[in-house]
Amino acid sequence: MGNSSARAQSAKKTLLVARFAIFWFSILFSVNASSQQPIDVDNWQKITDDARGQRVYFHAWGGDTELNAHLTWIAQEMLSRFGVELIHVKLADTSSAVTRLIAENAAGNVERGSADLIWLNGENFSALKRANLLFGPWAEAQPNFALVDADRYPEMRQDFGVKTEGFESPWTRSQLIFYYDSERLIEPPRTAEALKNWIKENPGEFTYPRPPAFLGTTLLKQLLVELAVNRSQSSAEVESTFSLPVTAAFDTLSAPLWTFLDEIHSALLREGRHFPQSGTQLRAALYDREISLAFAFSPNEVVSSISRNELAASTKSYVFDSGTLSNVSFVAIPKNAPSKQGAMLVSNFLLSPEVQFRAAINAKLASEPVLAFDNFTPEQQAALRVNAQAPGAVTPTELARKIQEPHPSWTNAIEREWLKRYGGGAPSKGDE
Amino acid sequence: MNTGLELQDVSLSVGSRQLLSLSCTIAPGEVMTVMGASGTGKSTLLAFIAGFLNEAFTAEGRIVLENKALNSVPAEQRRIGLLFQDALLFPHLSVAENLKFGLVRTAGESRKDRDGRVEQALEAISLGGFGDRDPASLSGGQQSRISLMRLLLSEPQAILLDEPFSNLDMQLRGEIRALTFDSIRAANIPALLVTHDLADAQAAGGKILAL
Amino acid sequence: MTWATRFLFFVLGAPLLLGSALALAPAFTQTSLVVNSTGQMGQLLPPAFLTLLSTPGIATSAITSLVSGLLTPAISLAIVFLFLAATQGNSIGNAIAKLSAPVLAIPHAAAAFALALLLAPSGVASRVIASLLGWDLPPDYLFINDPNGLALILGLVLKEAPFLLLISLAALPSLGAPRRVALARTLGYKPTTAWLLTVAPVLYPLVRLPLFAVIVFASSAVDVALILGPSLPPTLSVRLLEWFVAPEIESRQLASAAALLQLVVSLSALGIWLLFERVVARAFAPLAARGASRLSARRVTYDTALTALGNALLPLSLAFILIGIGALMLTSVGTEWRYPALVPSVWSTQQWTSALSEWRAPLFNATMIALLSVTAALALSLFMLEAQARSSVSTARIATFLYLPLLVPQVVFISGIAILAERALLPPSLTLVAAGHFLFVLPYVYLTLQGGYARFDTRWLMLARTLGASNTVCFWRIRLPLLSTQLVTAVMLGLAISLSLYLPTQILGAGRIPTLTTEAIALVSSGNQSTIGTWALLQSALPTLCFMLALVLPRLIWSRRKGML
Repeated sequence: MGNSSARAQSAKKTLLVARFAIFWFSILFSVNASSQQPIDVDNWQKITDDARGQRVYFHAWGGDTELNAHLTWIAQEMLSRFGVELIHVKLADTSSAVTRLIAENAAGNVERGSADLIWLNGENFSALKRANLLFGPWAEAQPNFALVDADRYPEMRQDFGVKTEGFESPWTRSQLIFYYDSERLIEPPRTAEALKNWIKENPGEFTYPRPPAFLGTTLLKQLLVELAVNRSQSSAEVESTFSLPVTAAFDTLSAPLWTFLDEIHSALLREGRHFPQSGTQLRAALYDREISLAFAFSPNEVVSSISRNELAASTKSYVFDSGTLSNVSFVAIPKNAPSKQGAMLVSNFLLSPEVQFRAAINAKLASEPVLAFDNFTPEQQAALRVNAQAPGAVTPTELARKIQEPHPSWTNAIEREWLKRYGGGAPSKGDE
Repeated sequence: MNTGLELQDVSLSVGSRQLLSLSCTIAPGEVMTVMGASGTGKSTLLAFIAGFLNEAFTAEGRIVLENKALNSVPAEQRRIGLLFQDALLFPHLSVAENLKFGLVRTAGESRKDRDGRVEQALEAISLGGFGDRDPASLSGGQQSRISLMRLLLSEPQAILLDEPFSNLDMQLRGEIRALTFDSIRAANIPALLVTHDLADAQAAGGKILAL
Repeated sequence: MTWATRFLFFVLGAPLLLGSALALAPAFTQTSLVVNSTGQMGQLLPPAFLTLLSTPGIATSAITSLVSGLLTPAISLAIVFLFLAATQGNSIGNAIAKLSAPVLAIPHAAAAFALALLLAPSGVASRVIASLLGWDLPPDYLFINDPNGLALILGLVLKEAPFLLLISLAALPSLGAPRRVALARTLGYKPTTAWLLTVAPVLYPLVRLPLFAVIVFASSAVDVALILGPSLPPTLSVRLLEWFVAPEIESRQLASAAALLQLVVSLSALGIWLLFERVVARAFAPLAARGASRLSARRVTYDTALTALGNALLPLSLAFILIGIGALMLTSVGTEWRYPALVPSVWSTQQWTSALSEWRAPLFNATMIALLSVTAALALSLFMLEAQARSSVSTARIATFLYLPLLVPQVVFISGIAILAERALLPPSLTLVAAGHFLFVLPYVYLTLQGGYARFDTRWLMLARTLGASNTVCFWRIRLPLLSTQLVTAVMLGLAISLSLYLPTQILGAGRIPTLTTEAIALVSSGNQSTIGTWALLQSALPTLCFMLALVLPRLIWSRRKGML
């Protein structure tokens, strides 16, 4: 008698718990049904339909006010044209998006990631691709992808030498350029060797952003490649060496770089005891006459800065004689993104001639369009040509001298070594 | 029939030290005076009777008011009024709102009726029309009168006075004292006065207990 | 007082302990890192600690943090005490003290930006000198971001001194300072020395706990260190943050090890300070016992020097910040302001229009978070205080618990709470960030209200009760109105604190909850001075508004009740 009532009691309890569990789990998993089903990237119409009403979180660096304004305009257009709500999550550092993604996956969050679209560069992309955290392939299915003419420009499919395999879509490209105040400097150095001599003769007139800031590392890589060429190998050999992952030969290959830096260290601004944190701080230093030579990873940098009164009208820019580093910026979609369709739509819109043109001309972004020049309309082409001749601009001939970025593993290795030698304060020799 | 306030075997101690013990009955309309030096527990006695005894003290004995034992009744239901040294008119309320604070509501009374009663009360103490005034703008004597009236409007069944006249100057003291005791007698309720001024005790005219 | 203590412990202590544990745990995992273990040590310590200890410059980072954790409170305390001793409540002193309140409202980051703008080689001070000396190019010196952390300490002192001043002023009335000083003066001491010898020792214990909070804050500050601190190497807290947001797993472990180190550094700073207290106490008695020589010329010099310092230092530090804010305003409306121009050559409001088009979301978030956290803190504080008042038991011990979130470095336990939220699949949201803010807002709100409760004349309540009001009626119609000034102060203080928090918003919100503060600090590395100026001012606007309201509201509400003011 007592047993059956006890059993009835426990049965009731189990039912209650089960009902509660079902309720709770259904809440947890009541995500969009569409995000659970596999996405057919070739059915662009369905993707456009599914994207309507989605909210896309675009994780991108927020330190560039022009880019922020450009993205605000893009968000307005995405809403009115496609019904997609684009939200620009301003990051202080790109890698924080990557950290978040890795942490989410470690915590088991495979359905509702916090980012739908991430602006990535080489080292971050390779980390995520290795960890199998990206959605794809999807990039080449975009209607506008054909406009970048990837067959003619293979760099559209390579991120720092790593093949994108459709997991990333290009949206902007950049190149390292140097610029100077022509009122203070008549003939700027055009090779690494000339740079070294010029710095030593003019102490306190040059500095670079502190690695691991992107621009600082870029200068180091530029010097690394160029100094290796100066050594003995031809530039083609050098490029192929550096496009491979870093090996134990790192010390020998990077030795010229460290000798170079050691020689100039005490002749830098602030005697190398403090470095600017970013390219914009470097630019401000030039503007305020603290230094007379600076550099940036964006060809339009000087033109747009002059138009915003952030650089003097007498500023001129150029590319080293043997070329400078250039790369393409990509966007990728995390595997746990809830609004993948919306993200793809945003990426496709970023590749449209309209947006690429606006970026260069109206928004005065410092980077270059990724579309092949022929794929712009004649009016757009004319405007772009005029833009290339604005005061302070780099000529297209100079820009054609491009050097491929080394493999991402070189970035980490160089940053680590720099921090070991100079990051603790006084320059010191490495550990071994 | 009013039976007054009765203290039966009341004993107050702090720790193991006894402060005072007394038994007495205060008839309606009578003002009993308790006198003594500071620290003898006079204010504690008042606190005990009103229902605010501090946990540091222990008390025994019964308080009976109108044949009801008050020992376990919360302070706001004891119908015992307090008059302190300072008038202590609520500074955030107007004079009329102060008076209305403790006003006992009669059934069927509208707001206008209550306002009318308040105005009548003000006129009774020659402060007619003062309803909207800021209490801080009144003189010491005016504040004392309003404080007394606020107390009376709550229709207490007993009144405790904690040295209520010592902050007043000589001239006012007599006037307010007379007003207070007359009101108590007219309302026919028992009162317990704590003071160290003999003149107060004599004006009270009741039993005097020295601690 | 056990139930209240237990409750507070749960509300405050549990997140703290849990957060710290989660933040520190990864340091102890045995996952191998890409580093060589160093001989025998490799057997004793987990890999994360080995990497940490072999990171170049880690000792310098830790020592810089430690030193700034000790020098900041020492200098701030000295400035405040000297000021109080020199002015002793005269009218000028009171006026300057009133000026401290709005300075307190300016968030740390904005004050740091202002200082950087003033003292950088291409900054305002340098331009003034350039115009006098005819310079063409900025000088090449390193003060802002100097390796010794001097600029960092200065930036912190400029904000902590007004904070300590206001705490001291609140505690002073209960000490009977004028009587003590008068007594000492009749014994031959000059006024300033008299104050320092008779009032300072009794005032110090009352500002001790806030001072400890300053020590911990100064040794672990992130936002100010990002702007003013050294970069080669950065302070420990900045490195910790860098490692925490880096993508590699190894960096997360490193961040945890660094968090432990940060905890050690902050606790060491506290320990050293306590030792220092004892030393000063021992040395004090003989000093005081030397007596005052009425005829000694030397004593005159000491006192005059101290008085001069006291009169000058605090006003100078306030002036610094205010001039810096003025410079920020200039830079926000100047589009062309090249060195060595003293004023911008081209003016425009373009920075403001572009900022104002972007400030809606950050403003909304910041306001909602502040309102949520302050409302929760207010409700909890009132609940606890009222409950304690009704059971009439002493409340002094609570203060120590309340200071817990202020005595553990933010960067340590907030990252742990973020990990907890991730595991619980709680998305970064306004509510989560508000919960984080709540932990920091509660102590200040509670302590402000506690002061009000402690000073409350219980006779009001007794009168109300005898007039027939129940406990509930007493609370709403007597207690709250009579506490209104403290309520307003507590609310505005809480709002101002929440509005200027950076780390909890950044970490708990995973960067998806922008507030005015996060947006401003995201611009640190941007180098665009006028954008920085605009956002720093935007960031300061709300807290300053809160402080002004705290001053003005009571006057407005009680304009017809003079007894309330």
